[in-house]
Amino acid sequence: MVFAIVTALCSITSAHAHAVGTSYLHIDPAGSDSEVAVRVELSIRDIEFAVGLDANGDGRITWGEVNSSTPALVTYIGRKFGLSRGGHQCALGDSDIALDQHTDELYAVLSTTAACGSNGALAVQSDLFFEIDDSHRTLLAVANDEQSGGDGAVSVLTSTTRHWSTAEPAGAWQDFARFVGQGAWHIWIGFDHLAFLMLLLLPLARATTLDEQPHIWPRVTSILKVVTAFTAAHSITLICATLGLLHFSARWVEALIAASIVVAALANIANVATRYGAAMAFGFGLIHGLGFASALADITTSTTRVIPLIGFNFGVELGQLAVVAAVFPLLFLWRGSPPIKDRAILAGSIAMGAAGISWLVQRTLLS
Amino acid sequence: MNRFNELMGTRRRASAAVLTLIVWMGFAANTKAAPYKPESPDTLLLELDASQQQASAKRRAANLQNNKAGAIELAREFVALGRAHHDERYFGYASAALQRWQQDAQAPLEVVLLRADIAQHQHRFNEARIILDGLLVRDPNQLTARLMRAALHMTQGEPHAALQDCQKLFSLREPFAATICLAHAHSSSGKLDESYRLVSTMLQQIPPGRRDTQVAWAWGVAADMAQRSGKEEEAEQWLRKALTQDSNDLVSRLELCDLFLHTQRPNEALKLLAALPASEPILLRRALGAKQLSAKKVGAMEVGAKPDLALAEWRAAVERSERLGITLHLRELARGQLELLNDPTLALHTALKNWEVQREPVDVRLLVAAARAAGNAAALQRVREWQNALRFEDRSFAL
Repeated sequence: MVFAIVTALCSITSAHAHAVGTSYLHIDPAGSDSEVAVRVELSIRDIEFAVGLDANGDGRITWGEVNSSTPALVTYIGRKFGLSRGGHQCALGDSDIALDQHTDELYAVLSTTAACGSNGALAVQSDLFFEIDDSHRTLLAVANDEQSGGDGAVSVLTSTTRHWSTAEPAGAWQDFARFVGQGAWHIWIGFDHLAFLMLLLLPLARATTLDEQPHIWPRVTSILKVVTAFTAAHSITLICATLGLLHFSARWVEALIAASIVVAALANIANVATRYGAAMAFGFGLIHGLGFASALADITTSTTRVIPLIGFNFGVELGQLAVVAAVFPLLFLWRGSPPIKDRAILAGSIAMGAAGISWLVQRTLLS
Repeated sequence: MNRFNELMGTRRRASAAVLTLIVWMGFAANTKAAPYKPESPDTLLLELDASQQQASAKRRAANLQNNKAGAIELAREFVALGRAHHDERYFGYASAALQRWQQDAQAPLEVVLLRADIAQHQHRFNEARIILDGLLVRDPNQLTARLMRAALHMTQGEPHAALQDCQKLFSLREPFAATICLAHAHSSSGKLDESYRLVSTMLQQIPPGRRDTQVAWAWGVAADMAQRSGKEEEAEQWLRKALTQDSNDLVSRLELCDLFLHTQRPNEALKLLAALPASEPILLRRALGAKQLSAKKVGAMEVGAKPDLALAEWRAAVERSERLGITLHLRELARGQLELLNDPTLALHTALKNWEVQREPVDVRLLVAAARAAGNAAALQRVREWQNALRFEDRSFAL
């Protein structure tokens, strides 16, 4: 009863003193190919409660007692700690035992070398002390490892998170998806590509015949012609350049892309865009494709190009489709008398043309 | 003078940062401190007292898996060890001993009580509440659970909810506990003076020989009321009495330490902390004491005369806890951020997080201090509204 009252009345916000029980694991794969250095540091107190150290039961744990309990400790660690590489369990070698201090606590330090396979991701499973301590924390440090592709990592294992492994190399689908994303992203942030495309599409908002109310189909056809020409052209050069069939100077390509914008703007202003739209789309599309190729080259290595290529191209098309689909309705729904439309198209063309000129200057004279 | 202080402050901050880095590296870099082997096999590494030995043997007993009563007994022992040695680890041990009842809604009442106790100790107050609610539905006459829930309500700043539980204690034939409980609740809901008078009178009428845990608790309650009434000497007396009865009472010890720091008596504050383990709350107060000492330019004392080192140690401990993902004492952290790091914005942010967890008078004072320092009128207004709604009084500061 007394205990019960103590429990109830001890002030709730009692200050915590010693921190929770903590263990330290240090893993260093940088040795020879198949060997991994492992160091396990466990608090003497935790070991006493989990395994038992006080052989003569006198309440005094000595260095001699800790030393002689090495086999028992190794057995315990063998049961509770697992290291694997590439999915294969590593065999722990003989252990050397020493002491170390963390904060104000003494720790037993067991150092060993684990025989692991030489390939694959490292994985650690630790159940150390969770059976006796719900709040136990195991601080895991893994030194730099080329093979597993990671930098040195530090991780905290708890009773609910007992497993750690280096990042798995991405599966093929994840890779593909990543490049699709990159493709779409590139065209969305590629104002120069979009500007060019818009310049070609804008004049199509005008009546293609002299009627006020043009038929839908001819307009759709024109839009499709321009977009398809652009797509075909940039795909061709993107594929050829990425597969090494074409070589080009990125600097010149960038400049030419800027030039294409200026030309398209001029075509709009001179009112010849609708006639030469598809041709310009194709011709300059070839150049734009080279621009995409250099963007792709930035994010791939020379050995892995095909899947990224397909994904990236796909992404570019998707991105382009999204933009066109957004703009598409406007080309139809935009109501306004031809003069107003004309002026708007003119204004837009001048603005984008000006941007094109500034890019051109930047990319030639100032780079 | 101001500029000089500022310069000193900057240099101090810089050296504090360097020291923190050094201390943190010492903590963090396992590889730096080299493992060693003692010369003699008789070198003593760790001493265990009788209860620790007993608990250890029980823990490793082969039949513990099947021994339900033994597991409960062991958990109880671990909780007692945790309180006696101020070692957090034992609460984790206790919780692990009760593992088999983790998901058991019909666990034995003693198990549920223990789990509630562990939860509230680890500041998982909402969890503790839920556990106790369930328990009191099963057994409305459970005295300990009732007291615990009343205390939890007070911790969470809900004196009206506490009143109901306190009332129930009368029907459980615990008039002393019931009265103290009611007085405590009333003191935070508009009746500070009468409540304090009542509690003082009751405590003065206790025969001097009587020293039990209910009385110890009552001293703590009286100390809080005294402080809020602005009667600091009386608060000191109540806390000293609590410590005399149980020198292991860490809460009273730290409260007395805070009182000394508040009244600019750093030497006495540091003396109280002398034999305690180096955990965050203690390192915080050592750093605060050292800072006060150096500000007073009093001659160096053995204990804590190096403010920069003390500050660095506290910071290192805080960072270590963060790295391990352990929930920090938000109140202590906010206080450190406010008074040691001089970062009122961060302190206010932490104090507000703390406010969501607990609302004892200390937490109220801390939030007000942080809000004032950060110049945040909205936060001050929030506290004001809370205070007015409850008619909560604390004369040790003016809002």
